[in-house]
Amino acid sequence: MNFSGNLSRRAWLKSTAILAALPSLRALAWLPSRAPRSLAQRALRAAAAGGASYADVRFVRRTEEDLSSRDDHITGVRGGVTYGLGVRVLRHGAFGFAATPDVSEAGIDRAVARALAIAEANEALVLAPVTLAPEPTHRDTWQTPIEKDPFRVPFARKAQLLLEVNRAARGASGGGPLRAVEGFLKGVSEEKSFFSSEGSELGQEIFRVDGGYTLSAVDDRSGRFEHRRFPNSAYGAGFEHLERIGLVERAPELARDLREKLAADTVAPGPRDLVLAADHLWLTIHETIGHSTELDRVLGDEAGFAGTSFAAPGDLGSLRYGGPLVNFVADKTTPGGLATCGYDDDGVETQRFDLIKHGLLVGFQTTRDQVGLPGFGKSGRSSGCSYAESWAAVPFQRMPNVSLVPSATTCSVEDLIAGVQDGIYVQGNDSWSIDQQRKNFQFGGDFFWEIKHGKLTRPLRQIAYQGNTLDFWSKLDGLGDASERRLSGVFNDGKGQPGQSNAVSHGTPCARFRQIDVLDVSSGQR
Amino acid sequence: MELWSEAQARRPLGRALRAAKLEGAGEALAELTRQGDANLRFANNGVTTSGEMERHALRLEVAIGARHATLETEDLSEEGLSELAARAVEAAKALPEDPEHVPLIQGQPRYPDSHAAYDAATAAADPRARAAAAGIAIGVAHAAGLLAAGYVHQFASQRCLLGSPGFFGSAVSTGADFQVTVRQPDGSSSGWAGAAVVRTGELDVAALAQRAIQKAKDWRKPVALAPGAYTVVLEAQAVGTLLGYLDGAFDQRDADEGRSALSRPGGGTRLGEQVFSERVSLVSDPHDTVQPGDGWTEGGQPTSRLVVVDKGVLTGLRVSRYWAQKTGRPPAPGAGNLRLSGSGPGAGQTLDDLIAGCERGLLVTHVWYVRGLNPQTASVTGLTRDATFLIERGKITSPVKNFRFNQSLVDWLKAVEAVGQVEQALDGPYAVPPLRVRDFQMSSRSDAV
Repeated sequence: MNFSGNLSRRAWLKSTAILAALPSLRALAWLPSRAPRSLAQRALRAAAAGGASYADVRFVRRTEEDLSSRDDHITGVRGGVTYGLGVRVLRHGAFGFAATPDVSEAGIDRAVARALAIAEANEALVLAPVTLAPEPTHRDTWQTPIEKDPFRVPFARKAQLLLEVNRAARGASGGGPLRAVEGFLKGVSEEKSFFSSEGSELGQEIFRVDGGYTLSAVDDRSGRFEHRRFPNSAYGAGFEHLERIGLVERAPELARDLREKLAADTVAPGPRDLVLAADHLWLTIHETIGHSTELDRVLGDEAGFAGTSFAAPGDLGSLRYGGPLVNFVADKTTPGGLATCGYDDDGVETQRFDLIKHGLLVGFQTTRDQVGLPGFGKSGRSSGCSYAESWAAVPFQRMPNVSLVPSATTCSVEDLIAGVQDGIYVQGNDSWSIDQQRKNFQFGGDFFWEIKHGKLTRPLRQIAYQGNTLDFWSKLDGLGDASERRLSGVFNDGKGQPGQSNAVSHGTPCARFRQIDVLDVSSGQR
Repeated sequence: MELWSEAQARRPLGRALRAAKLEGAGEALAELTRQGDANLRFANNGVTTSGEMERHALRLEVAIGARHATLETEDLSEEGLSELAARAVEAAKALPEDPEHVPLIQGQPRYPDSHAAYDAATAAADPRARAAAAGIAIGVAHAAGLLAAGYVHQFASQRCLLGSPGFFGSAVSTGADFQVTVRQPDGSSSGWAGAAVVRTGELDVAALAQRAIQKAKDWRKPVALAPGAYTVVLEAQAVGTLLGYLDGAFDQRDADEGRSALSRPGGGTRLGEQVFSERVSLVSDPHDTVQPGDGWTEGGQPTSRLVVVDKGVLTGLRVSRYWAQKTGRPPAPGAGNLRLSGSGPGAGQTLDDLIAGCERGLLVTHVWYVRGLNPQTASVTGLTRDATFLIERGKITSPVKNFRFNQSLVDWLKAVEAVGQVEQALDGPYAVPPLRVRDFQMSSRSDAV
């Protein structure tokens, strides 16, 4: 479909079939005025006149609202809107970028001039002039399919949902050691308009929501305290998602878990078989697979901060992550994915592609400026992994949704547990850490069950497991089927300097790993 | 970034307050933040990304009795601010009363003067100066046959506050930082150095690059030591990163509620107890010259000096306005910063002194991916990174492979043997020294370079 007219959100939404999926348009009357197309064209002309061989302009309006609660009251509504533009120019092989909230002719003229000055200043530091992978010109719009605009749901309805969580948790705890119920609901939208000197004109509106809570309990006699959290539920969707995930319905179960956790034993350190629930494993995937296959890390471009990767440019097709069950796809088109969109911030159409197939590394995540490097394949096209967190941020290579392909053979979590003599079933997430080459990691969980002779026997607490990425994935010997798959994610995957947050999801079923080192972290002295 | 005058700043702030009142807000507080930020990144001895960003935002807190909401916008026009106020008041009206809401302060407080935290030369960003700084590091790394990756950054910030009771506040700050990681082209070793300052002119880029280069050269063929408890000398920036994971424990409410490492089992807090080594003090102070603090906090409350730990004794916890009201204490917000400093003989030593005083231990130059592990013990996990060395009889004798550590931070500051000179932390609002600490718990080895 064609992108038409200026960047009025209503105008471009009305021109799309997407509008039919929306019950009504968001009440945007309070938001600032739209980014006129003419401003973008002015910027692109000025960039070309200043010697830029390529330029793009992104207008981004990000709206965010968070509601938070503690026990029987709402502690705050926070959020707002941020709106501005970023101009990127490529001149004599060097990029320059400038951003301003002044969306006027004077503002954009100043931003273009600054971007050109930066590119010029950086010319002396260019080793190899930047070139861009070819990409067809796109004129299109895209929107996250939603049923309920999170910004049109009455505040009172959101408050009611959080207060019901408190009542349900308190009702189940019966006045026991439950000390605090702290909840939140979050909605984010990104309205982006992208114009490039190659003729691409793109309008996108991306919605993301999240919701959850933490229950805290204290045993006054011993002073011991513990938490139990609602499983990660961040999703690319509207408010309807938060009404379907069982926030209230699961509160009694989680409150009972917490009471048991407070009284539970920890574990004797040593190797154990682990069954990792889907609501836990996604984060292990994020850290070990997602980050190790980012081409900028592989090339050393992130060596100064986020780190590099154990994978080398020449490892494609030869580096083995594991056996035939180890299959990962990168996919910025996954329904519900936090990184899902129509086009990346280089204007590249989003794609689904293999990263690891039958245990072998076969792909890297790429952007247009990495053209000619490993991961581009025969097409020579970027895999569409460029993202900037706001109009004020430089786009660079960020993780798409990276997911573990479920087993084609029927397999449930009960089947995986039945195959364990002495092990631990790990649910939810707690502490996580991995080294700067994505090798040595340590992950905690939110709730643990001891497994003996194929059965869950008793809850455990304060456990973490350690491993090395390639060794860990080689120990995968059981995988849930598609009915066990769950999509989880984060809004704040950090990378870059200044730090930028990327929202990204990971789909995974439950999985079983043999003989992984577990630790007792109750004392913090192991 | 050019600073706005008070009259310029008052214009959008006043508009926002008037709009809030028109919408029916009983009380309102508007805070304007303006920031200019400029940076350059480099890697593999070449520039990667580079940009300049101007930002401003007006945050509006409205309250109708005990119902309240806080929203912000970048649209400072009359229309934009009216719409912001309407949305915030709509939210406040729709929500139930918050029993923890505390009204704004009354009268005009004396906010700390922030001008010592501002440098006009740092605020005037010049892309050529940033490129030149990166060029220095790249040049010396290239000459040594090494690869440099790093970050040149500077910012200027202005914050202004106007409350419906009539109080006004203004604060300015600048900052500059430089970080460089130098690696062997074959990826076999790396070294890091970094520093943050209020004034760009105080950054010695060449010296930092040389430190990183020396570490990368010295960290060839590291030996694998067994995990276990080691005496460690932590460079100041590593201390800053770790302190960030202890800072949250200094909260009176969490401690009172039994949810903190500083809670006393059976009830109460550990205030008055010797919780850390007598060599350690922790103070939050808006006038700190190395790491300036904030001027105000929630509700327009002015910040003030708070001695959190005095010679190892826990003397003060941060008290929010609500918790102060509920428990009958005065509010004690601190200033959002913390200085960890030494006292007694041996305080203020150089890093070399700390190494010289170590019989056997490890020099940790940089830590990475530190995360909270167990709030009960304020324990964290994390890794050493970019050059770790064995110290024997006061001298560095061998490069060693990196470790993962699992360490209680309460135990960490209990076991401090010696304290160096403070510098500004890159990672958080801290002024921190290098430390020598006994019994640091290395849990496993990492082969990462």
